[in-house]
Amino acid sequence: MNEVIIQLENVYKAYKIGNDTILALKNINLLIKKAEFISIVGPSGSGKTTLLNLIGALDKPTKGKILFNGIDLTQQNDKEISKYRAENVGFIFQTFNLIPSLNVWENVKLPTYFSSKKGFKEDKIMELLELVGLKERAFHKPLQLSGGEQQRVAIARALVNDPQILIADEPTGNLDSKNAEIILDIFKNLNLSGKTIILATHNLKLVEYSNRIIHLYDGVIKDEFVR
Amino acid sequence: MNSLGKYKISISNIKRNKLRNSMVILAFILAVILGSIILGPVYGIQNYYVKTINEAGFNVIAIFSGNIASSNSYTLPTNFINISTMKYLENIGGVYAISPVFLAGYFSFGNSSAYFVGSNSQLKLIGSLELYKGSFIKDNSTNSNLINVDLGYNVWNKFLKGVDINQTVSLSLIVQFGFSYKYLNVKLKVIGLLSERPKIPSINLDPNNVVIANIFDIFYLFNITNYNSIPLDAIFVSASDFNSIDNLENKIVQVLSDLGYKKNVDYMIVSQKDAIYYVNNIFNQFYRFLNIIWAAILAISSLSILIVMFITVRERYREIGTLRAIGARKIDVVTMILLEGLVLCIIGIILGMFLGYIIINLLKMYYTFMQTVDNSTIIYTFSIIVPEIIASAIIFSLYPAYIASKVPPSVALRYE
Repeated sequence: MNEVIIQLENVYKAYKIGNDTILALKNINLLIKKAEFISIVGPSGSGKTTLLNLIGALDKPTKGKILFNGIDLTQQNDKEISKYRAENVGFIFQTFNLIPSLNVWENVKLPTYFSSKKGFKEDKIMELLELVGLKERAFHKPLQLSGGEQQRVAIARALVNDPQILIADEPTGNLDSKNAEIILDIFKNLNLSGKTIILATHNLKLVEYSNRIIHLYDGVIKDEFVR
Repeated sequence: MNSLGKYKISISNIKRNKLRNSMVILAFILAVILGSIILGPVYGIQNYYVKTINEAGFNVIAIFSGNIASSNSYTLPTNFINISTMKYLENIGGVYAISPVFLAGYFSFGNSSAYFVGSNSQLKLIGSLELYKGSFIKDNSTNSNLINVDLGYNVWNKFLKGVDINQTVSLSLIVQFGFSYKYLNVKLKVIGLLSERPKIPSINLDPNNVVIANIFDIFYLFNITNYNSIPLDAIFVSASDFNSIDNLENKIVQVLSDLGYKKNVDYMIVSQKDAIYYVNNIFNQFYRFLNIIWAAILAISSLSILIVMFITVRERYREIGTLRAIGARKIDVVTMILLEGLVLCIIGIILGMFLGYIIINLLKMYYTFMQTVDNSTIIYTFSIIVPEIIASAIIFSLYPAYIASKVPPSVALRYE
C-alpha cells in the first residue's frame, strides 16, 4: 500500500499565449502511492486539469520530473509514452469523449488496439459492462445513452487494459446527483480493488470519500489533507 | 497498434460523414473515368498504329522514287531507281529479301479502284502477305498475254465477288501517261487470293486493293524490252532482323549515293523502324499535352481529399485527443487518417474503373476511333492512372494527418 507509483519533482508548467507566458503549475512536488484515492480540488484555472494531464502524460512539464514506478516520463519518446497511457492509465473525462461512430462494445474495446498486453479476451468487455451496469446496452451508440450511462461506458473503457491508475477530470461534472452517486460507487469499488484513483472534482461526496485531498490554488499546492 | 482496429475506426468515420465522403468518392470516380477516356484512346490509337506498322511487313526499308513525303509538291527525280539499281542493292550484306514495286496502272470498279502492281515472289515475305487460297506469283516470266495474278482481299471479296483461283478474268487497265490515260484490255489468270490485312497508316495505297503480277509479265504486256532502265515506283528491302534495319538503311543510302542518287530528290527512304519512331514521337507529344489535362483532373480530385480530410481532422480534434489519451501513437493517428483517405480513394477507383469500362464500351458504339481501345488498352490505361491517383490520395491525406498527429493530446482534448 505504501509503494510510490507516481512522483512529481519540482514540476512547472508554462503556457505561451501570444507574447504572455502563463505559469499554470509552479514547483509541484507530489508523491502518489498505490491504491490511493486522491481528489484534487481548487477553483477554476487553479491548474487541476494541467496537473492531471501531466500525470497522465498527455502533456510534458516545462521543468521538473514526473516519475512512474521510478521511470522519468519526461524522457520517454512517443512510443513509450503511448504505451504508458495505453497500459497504465485509464482516463475519464467530464465530457465522456466516446467515439460516436462506434457502439458501446467497440468504444470499450478501443484501448485494447493500442495495448501490447497479452491475453486479452473479448469476454472482459461484457464483464466490464456488467460492472458498470450496461451489459444490455452493449450495441447501442453513445448518442442513444444518457450522460450517466455514457460516463459509465467511459469508465469501462478506462478499465479495459487493467491500468494501475485511473485519472478522472470532473467525472461527475455533467451528471445529475443520482448518476453522480452511481459513478461514486463504481470508483469506491475500483479503489477497494486496488486501483489508484486521481480525480479533479467539485463533487463533495467524491471529495469526502477520498483518502487524500490536494488543494490547488493558482498553480501551487496550497493544502493537503490525508485521512 | 492492431491494424484491424485502425481499419474499424477509419471505416466507422467514413460511415459517419456519408455525404461529404461520397463527394470525395465521386471526385475519384470522375478522375478514373476522365483519365481513361482521355488517355485510353491515345494509347489505343498509338498501339494500333505501331501494331499495324509492325504487321505491315518484315523489317522493311522502302525506297520510294522521288520525294513523296510532301503532299503539296512532288519533286521530279532526275535519276530514277530501276531494276539495275535493285541489282546493286541485292548485293549489300544484310539484305534478306528485295522486291521491285512497279505501279502499272489501275483497274476501276465503280467508285473503287485497285492498283496493278508488278513485283516478285519475295514481296510475299517483305509485305507479310498471307494467302487465303492458291499460290503467290513466281519470279520467272510466263512471256504470255495471260498474266498470273494474286488478288488483294477487297478485289476478290468485294469488286470481283465470286472469283476463284484458276479463273481467268478480263479487265480494263487504266494506264497514266503524263496527263493522259490509256485503256488496255488485259486477261488475268487468278492464281492466289490474299487474306485481309490492315491498311498501313499514312500510306494511301490500301494493301487490300491490289492486283499483284510478276513485274516482267507486265513489262512483256507493255512490250518493254529494255526494262533495266524503266523507272520503278519503289524498291522494298527486308533486313534480316529488326535491330539491323538502321545499319542496312545507312548502307543502302551509301550505295545509292555512290550510284549518283540524291536522297530526298531522286528517292526517299523510310523504314518500319522510322515509321514506328515517327508514330511514337507524335503520340508521345500528344500524350505529354494530355498529361497536363490529366494532371489538372488529378489535382482537383486530390484537392477534394485534402479539403475533406482537413475538415474531418478539425472536426475530430477532440476525438484524436481521446485516442491519444487511450494510447494511440502519433503514427497511429497518421495511419488512421491515411487509411481513411485511401479507403475513399480505393472505393472511388473501383467504381470508376467499373463505370469507365462501361462508358468506353458505350463510346465504341458511336466513335470509330474508340474501337482501338481494346480490353488490354483499358487495363494498361488503368495501370497508369490508378497508381497516380493512389499516390496523390496518399500525399494529399498525409498533410492533414501530419497536422492531426502534431497537436498535443491535452490541446486536442480541449478543442471545441
